[in-house]
Amino acid sequence: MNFIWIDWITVIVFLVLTTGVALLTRRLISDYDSFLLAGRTLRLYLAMATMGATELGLVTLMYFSQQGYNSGFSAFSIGVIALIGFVFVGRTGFIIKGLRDLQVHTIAEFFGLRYNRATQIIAAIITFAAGLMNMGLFLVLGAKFLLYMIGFPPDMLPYLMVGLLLLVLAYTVIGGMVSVVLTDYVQFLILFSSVVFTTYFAITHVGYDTVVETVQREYGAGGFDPFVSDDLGWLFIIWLIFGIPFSGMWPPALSRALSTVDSETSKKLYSFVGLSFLGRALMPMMWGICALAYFAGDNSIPLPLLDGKPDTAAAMPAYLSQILPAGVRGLMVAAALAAMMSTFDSYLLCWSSILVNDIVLPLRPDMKDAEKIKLTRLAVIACGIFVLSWGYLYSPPETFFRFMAITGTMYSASVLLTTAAGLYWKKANTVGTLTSLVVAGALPLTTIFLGGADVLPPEYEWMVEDKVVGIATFVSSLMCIVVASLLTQRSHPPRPLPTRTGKATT
Amino acid sequence: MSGWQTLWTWTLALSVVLFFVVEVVVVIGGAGDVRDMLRSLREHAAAEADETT
Repeated sequence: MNFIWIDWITVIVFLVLTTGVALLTRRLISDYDSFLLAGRTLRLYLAMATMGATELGLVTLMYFSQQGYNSGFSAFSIGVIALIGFVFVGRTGFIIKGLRDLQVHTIAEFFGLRYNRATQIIAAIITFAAGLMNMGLFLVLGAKFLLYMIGFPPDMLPYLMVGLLLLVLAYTVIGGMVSVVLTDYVQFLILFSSVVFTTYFAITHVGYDTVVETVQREYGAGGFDPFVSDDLGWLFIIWLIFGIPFSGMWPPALSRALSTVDSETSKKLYSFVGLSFLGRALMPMMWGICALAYFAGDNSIPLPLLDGKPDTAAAMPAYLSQILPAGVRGLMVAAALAAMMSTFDSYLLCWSSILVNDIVLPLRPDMKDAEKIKLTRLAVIACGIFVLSWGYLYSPPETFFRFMAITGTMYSASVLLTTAAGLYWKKANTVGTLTSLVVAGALPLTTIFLGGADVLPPEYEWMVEDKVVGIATFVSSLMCIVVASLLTQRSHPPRPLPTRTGKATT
Repeated sequence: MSGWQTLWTWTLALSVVLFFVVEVVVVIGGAGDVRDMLRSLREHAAAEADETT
């Protein structure tokens, strides 16, 4: 066991504080808007805090550190591309401004306004499926971090997963978005401070020069140049570049933009909080690179194994548990719990709201607010149980980050690309949109279920490689919406976008 | 140190600075926003309660 009493006290104080907030805010939930979007009352700085905390989850720390361990400094290119994407969205208001001006609750609701109910439901199903699969690894990665940081035996992993799930479910179900936003603010403070401190400890323990030398020795030029990296390569970079216009539009982050007081605040939110997205990627990646230097430099300290192979995802927590001083280790675990809870609760609430708003409500429009809140709470629990099961059953063929990237593409290339077309191209119609949604929603499944499964002959394995499928998904989605829309303009004339302007109710 | 190494070293330093600046600005500005949000939700909840009685 790595923890001592001061570490435990730090963690317990944090847990009491955050769950107390959920209970105290329950009386403020008066209707569905206040449950789901905090009554659309988020001002700029609070929106930044909640978006920053939501998008910096424990899973983020884990998958970026694993990517740093596997790719060296080349992995930093991912953070730079994310920064460029956020600056682009913040400056132009691409998609976010249009959606905020329409005052939709979720992105799929836009499809109901622009096209029809069937398109809304299909977009919602794709978003829901991609989102749930993406979230499927949150619990197992979070539990793995705690396991190695605290020093529990490996067979405790399933119990930790169940414990974490119960903790998050408790205050998400009770409080809704208001408690999520308030705890996000507290968590933002703890989390961002801990990330900076930990980076300092991680680098100074092994020394920056040692880190550079280790990466040079282990990965050669590919450890620095992403275009010649064995793990990444130019195809991977092109795939990420395709995703630039859709940066930060994963539904939980987008829900923050939709919760702001107006569209200008949404734009400012992306411009400013996007600046932290470089550090969000680079600092955990640096922890992973430092872990590489640590385990490569001293063979007496073994890297944890998984099925007989080095468990690169466990390298970072195993490293930090060895180097962080007592007290700081407890603070880091509290921060990690904050990271996990702030991300997990928002994601659970988001997918559940999509299920209720965009799949159930179009079929049962007369539902009352109390029924919607009750159904959303039940959906939160059901999603949590799915995530627990998926984490047990599925292991991705590549790194965890790349699994996140392919599930992200499933959503970006289908739902976001067609949303952009619907907002900015008058000729986009229902047929084009449905074709694009179905093709781009289905293609990434080949990587998710066939990649690394040894079902294809070796000479065809490249066809289900994530980089190839990712690029093919974006290109085919764009071609589908353009060609199918143009071919069916007469039979299915495009429906004009209704205008719904006006300020939020504050 | 090669060009890529120098680039990543400076990028890492920049990322830490930006991260820290965002943290300070958001924590200070967010405190006022929390107060405003709670007041607004409290008023909204009271108005809803009035309508139902």
